[in-house]
Amino acid sequence: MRKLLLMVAAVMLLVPMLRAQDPLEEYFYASGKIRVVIAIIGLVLLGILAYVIALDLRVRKLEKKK
Amino acid sequence: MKVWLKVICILLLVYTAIAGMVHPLIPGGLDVRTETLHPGLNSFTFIGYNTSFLEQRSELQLFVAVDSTFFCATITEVTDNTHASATVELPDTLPSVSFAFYANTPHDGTVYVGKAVSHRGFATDPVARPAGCNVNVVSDEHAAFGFPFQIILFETIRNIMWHVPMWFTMFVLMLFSMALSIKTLRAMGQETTDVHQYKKVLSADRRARIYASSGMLFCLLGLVTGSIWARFTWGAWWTMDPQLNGAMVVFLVYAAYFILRSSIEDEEKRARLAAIFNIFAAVLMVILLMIMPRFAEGLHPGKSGNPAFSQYDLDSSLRTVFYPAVLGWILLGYWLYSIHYRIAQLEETDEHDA
Amino acid sequence: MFSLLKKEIQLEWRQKHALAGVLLYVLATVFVCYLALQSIEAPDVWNALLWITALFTAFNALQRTFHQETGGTLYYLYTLASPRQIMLAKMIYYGLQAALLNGMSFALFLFFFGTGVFSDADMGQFLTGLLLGSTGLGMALTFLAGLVFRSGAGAGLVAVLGFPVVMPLMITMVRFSRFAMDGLSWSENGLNLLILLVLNAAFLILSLVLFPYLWRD
Repeated sequence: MRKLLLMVAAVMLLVPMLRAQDPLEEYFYASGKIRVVIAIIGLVLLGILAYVIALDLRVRKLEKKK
Repeated sequence: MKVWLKVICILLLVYTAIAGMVHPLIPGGLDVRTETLHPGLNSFTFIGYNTSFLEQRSELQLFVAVDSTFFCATITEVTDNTHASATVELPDTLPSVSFAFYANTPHDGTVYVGKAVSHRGFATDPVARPAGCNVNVVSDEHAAFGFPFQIILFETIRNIMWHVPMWFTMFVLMLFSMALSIKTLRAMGQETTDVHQYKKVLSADRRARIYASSGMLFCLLGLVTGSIWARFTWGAWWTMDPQLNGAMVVFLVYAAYFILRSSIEDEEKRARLAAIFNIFAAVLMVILLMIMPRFAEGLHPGKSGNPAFSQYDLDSSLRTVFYPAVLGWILLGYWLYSIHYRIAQLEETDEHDA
Repeated sequence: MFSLLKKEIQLEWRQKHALAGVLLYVLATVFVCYLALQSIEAPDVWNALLWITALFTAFNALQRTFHQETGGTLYYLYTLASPRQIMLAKMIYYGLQAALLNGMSFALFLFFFGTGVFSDADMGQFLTGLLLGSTGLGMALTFLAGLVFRSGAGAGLVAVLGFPVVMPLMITMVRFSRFAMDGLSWSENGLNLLILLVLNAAFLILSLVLFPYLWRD
């Protein structure tokens, strides 16, 4: 019974979400698309960080040898 | 890399990050909600962006423009700074049925929404001059300093500070890489079996490789950020645009450069052939990113004649942040290169010692 | 110079089977296209298929450009002529060969699919595009084949290096010939023609400048 209720609740929660044209778009279009900017800044940071981490690993290898 | 260069780099990037986020967009018209327009009394709601309707309520004017005729609206309700409702009286005969909605305040200047709205019952006569009202268009100059408001871009106009410098940085790094490849070939041109000469060749080659690999990082970042930006402005992750396709080809060409490197065992031969291919790649890059986009229509701004931004797209408020951003990112690219290079050098001497 | 060209033609003649293989490849490709499609109404599809055929034909024909030059011949050639002359001869020969092959696949396409899509085309423009595209493909791939030959890696590397390098050429060629099929005037299509010429010139000049470095050991 409780399972059934939970399922009904889940469906009721899902229905409005399904009705949204594209949840991704809705999320990113909020407040003047500022979230697109944040996503892009985050990606740039991630990219630079990945590069720095790769360099860091190489330095560590050198240090171990010494 | 000199310490003062690093300081400048950090300062420029911090300035970019802050100035690129804190400046508001200048006020603009976002949308108009209206029933089907018809002759007689119509009501509509004007939705602004970053406007100050409520604060300037007493001076707020709303009007509807058809071609060059203005019809003043009577404001019925201002719910907040961005929503104002009004009614407007429209005549039976209009010069055309393209409506534009304006809002006027001393603080925001004149903002407008040009939008196709449904209508019925109007007779159109191109020479009709219906009696409108005189409108005091305050000014196109905006009191507040801010980034341009563009209807599809909205806040994403700030991405100019993040996406575009990636390409500038890649371009500069790849050109440095090509310069070192030329140096590699020139050093080889002198017939000598001197060990010193041999080392010089390998060192130039190593630097060319590392410039190219840090350039690849920025190429990748440019592609990824561009793709996301495109998704939420042009509506697709990838669009048929010469700059986009060109950037992808540049990425593939440099990927081929690294594949070529990894498939040659002999150091001297690798240096020589990779340098030759690198010069090829750099020339292709210039053609792809500088020449080809000028001649093909695409979605990027400043098309037909100018691959960069035109006066209109990059106004003075953006310039004050954009140019420092480009310089800062190029310096960061060089910084990353120099760290990478120093590590590669240490690895080299390490192998000699071992 | 002419003797070098003659040498290329003679060499090719002696290896008739290789050329015959490529011709068979072209015929088979176009025939497969025909079997799959029977008729093509859309100029876009026509154009795409023609250029895909052209691209793969060029790769097929040109990746072994330098592989006949083994051992003795190579050093003999080296004493006779400067590397630039060798390269120029090869590029002229293989550029023309690519143009011929692509002209042939074009003719085959016309034979199998009819001339329907060309009803308002500017034929002179289309053929110019075909010629310039082929020579560009031929020159770029000849140079890259030389590079890969010197690297000692297998001929498969030509495809890896070649595809990205000829991509700008492909983009422009497809646009140019597509516009020609629509019957646009020369002035409307002139910018694409200009890019084709620039790319051809770039491949030619770069190859000639860089080839001596490629050749010396």
